[in-house]
Amino acid sequence: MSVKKNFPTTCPSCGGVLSVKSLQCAECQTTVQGDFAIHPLLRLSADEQQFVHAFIMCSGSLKQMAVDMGLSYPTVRNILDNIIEKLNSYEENF
Amino acid sequence: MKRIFNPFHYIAGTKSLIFGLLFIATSTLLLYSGGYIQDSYIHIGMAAAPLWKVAAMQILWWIVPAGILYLCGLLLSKSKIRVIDILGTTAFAQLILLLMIAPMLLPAVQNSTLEMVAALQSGAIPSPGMALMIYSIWSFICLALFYIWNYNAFAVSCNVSGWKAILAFICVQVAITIVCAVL
Repeated sequence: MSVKKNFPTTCPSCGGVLSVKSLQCAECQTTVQGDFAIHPLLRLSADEQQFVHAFIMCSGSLKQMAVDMGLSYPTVRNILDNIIEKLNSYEENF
Repeated sequence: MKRIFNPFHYIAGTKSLIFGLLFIATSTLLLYSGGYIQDSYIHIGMAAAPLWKVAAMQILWWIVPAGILYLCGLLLSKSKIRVIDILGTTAFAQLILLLMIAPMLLPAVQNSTLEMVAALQSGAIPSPGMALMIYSIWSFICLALFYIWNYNAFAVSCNVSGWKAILAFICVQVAITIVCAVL
């Protein structure tokens, strides 16, 4: 049984932002080490990332998204505005 | 449960405005047929007024509060606010007033109200009948839900939340009461 792992973005100890120290090739297991910052989009919650994905797939049409999600237009607009606000705060430290 | 307390997560804009206008039109006809008029934001009194006046009052007590909420949203919100959303959601919230008005036309409630009025006019101590007491509880529930729906209409349309939104809504209600008293 495969377990779906969530990509951790904050430190479980102090709550600070995590960075990537090493990456490995799934084919040949070559490892690259360094200090790579996590993109602000990856710091969003799973639901928010799903929303951004759906937004792109809808060609940025909030009206279409509202229909697809069964929500009202201002509700969808509010979710987007809250994500924008979050991304703005993340990008200040990126 | 969420749909009962906050239907605006699911309906807003033009669709809610159309439904809202239908609710207002139905309320107007019910009030007119029963010899009532909405003489304040949340007060309904007995008066033999012409249909146009009943309709005008219904629209006034919807559009003025909606306008004040919109202005408040412009001041508080960081989001782009659409007039159609605030008009649509507040119009849809008039459904609660319709639910409050409809039982007023029941003969038992009407008779009980007339008896109360007659007792008050004659100087006797009025004793509300069972129908009027049940209706009072119903109207209290409706009134509470009316405020909840209006708050949610404001919160969803203007993307405001938390204490800031609650405080602003209370201030707006005070402003509406003052404006309605002037009008």
